[in-house]
Amino acid sequence: MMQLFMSFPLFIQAALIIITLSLLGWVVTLINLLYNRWKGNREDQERRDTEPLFQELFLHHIFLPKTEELQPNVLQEFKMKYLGRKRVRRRLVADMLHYQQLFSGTIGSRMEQLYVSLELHKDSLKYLKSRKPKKLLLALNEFLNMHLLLTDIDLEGLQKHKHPLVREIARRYILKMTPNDPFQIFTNLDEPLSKREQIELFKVITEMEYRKLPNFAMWIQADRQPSLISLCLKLAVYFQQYDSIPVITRLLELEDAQIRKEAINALGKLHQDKAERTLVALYDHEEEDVKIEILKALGRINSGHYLNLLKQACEQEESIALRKHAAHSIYNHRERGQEVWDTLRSKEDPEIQTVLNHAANKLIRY
Amino acid sequence: MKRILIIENDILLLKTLKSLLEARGYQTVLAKDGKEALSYIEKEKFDLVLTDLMLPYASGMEILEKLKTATHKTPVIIVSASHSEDSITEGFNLGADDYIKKPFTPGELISRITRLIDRAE
Repeated sequence: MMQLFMSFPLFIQAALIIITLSLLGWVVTLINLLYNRWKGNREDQERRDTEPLFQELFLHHIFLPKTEELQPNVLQEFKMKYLGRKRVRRRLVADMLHYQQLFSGTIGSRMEQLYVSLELHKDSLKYLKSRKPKKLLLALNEFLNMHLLLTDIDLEGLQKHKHPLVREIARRYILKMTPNDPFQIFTNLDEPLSKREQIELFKVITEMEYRKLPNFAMWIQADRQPSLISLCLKLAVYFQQYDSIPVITRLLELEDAQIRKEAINALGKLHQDKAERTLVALYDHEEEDVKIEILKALGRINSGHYLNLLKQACEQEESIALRKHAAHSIYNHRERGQEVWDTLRSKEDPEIQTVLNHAANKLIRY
Repeated sequence: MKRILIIENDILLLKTLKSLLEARGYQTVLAKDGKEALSYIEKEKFDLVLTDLMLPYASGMEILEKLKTATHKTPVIIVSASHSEDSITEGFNLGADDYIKKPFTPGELISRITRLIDRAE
């Protein structure tokens, strides 16, 4: 065979090699196609077989239970009979998680009991030992949705995992599942939080129900991660923690302009008129971004004590952004700022009029 | 026996609602998309319609519009994951009688259904 092949001219040999490779490729593709189709059909068949069983299980134990407590004997029998294969167990878990999204109230807690009674968590416990982020995410998400508190997981290791999504879900798990010390995640934090992580944590923390809310000022300290300070400033504002004001004011002395900016923003949102004097004193020495934050804060505090400074900034600042923000802060003073607003309106300077029109336009977000 | 049309594209929820309502003595007709639902509405009369908003082929709003033009006034409950004020207002403007946000408790749904069916009698 080989001799015959070698006797052909080179271009025939090349053509034969290409034809053979193409045929091989075609055969592999066909086998792959047939295998996937067979796998799909088998899964469909299994789904058709298990769906009524699952429906019955949910109806009898969750939706229309005959007894308050789950019946362990019945469940044990169900487990032995139908849950031998991992694929089936995973499908049941997927259905349970789906139901958790659809129904509220006691359904959720009964579903959680059923999940544990059928020992469905054991597969995911194995996933937690995996190095693959996909498996870790799947397991943590499952435990989180099933409110399953596990004491033997290395949560500290998971919140320092190299994959950002694993870190995020581990923190979410700690916040939701460790009621005694959910905020240990802040204390143990030594990596910066990305913007996305901050948003996620903010969402989880503000949606949680607390027995006792911590004072976020304890993490608003110069030696903490700037990203943690930033998150805690937003949380202090959200929960209206006025106790944190002295700590926030101390941040104005820091070199980090971003932190100063966020601290000023927080003071403005907490309507701290006591901080106005400090903010005004800072104004002339600050860079433009921080100056804008000061002007915005004066508008939010709305005390009327520094309307002249706002007027001056609106008229004299070189930067158009500063002038706009000053005008908008005067506008935010409503009746208190009416006189200053009218004075500026009476000016003939067309640039001031444009700035004022801009500031009064409700469609423009400041 | 009172007949309820359940329109829901989530098959798992559709079947669960069917079992829950049948256990309470209602007869159910199931539609998994808007087109199927519209064909049922044209042909048959129901005592109540339970519909999702996001449906393939025809939305819950289109179904509501269709029901609004029908001579027989069928009570409608919207069961939706959409919590937007606009969709709730639009649903009521189009004649929905009630709006249940997902996630919900089966007890809440059953009592709302019972109330509407009793009121329509």
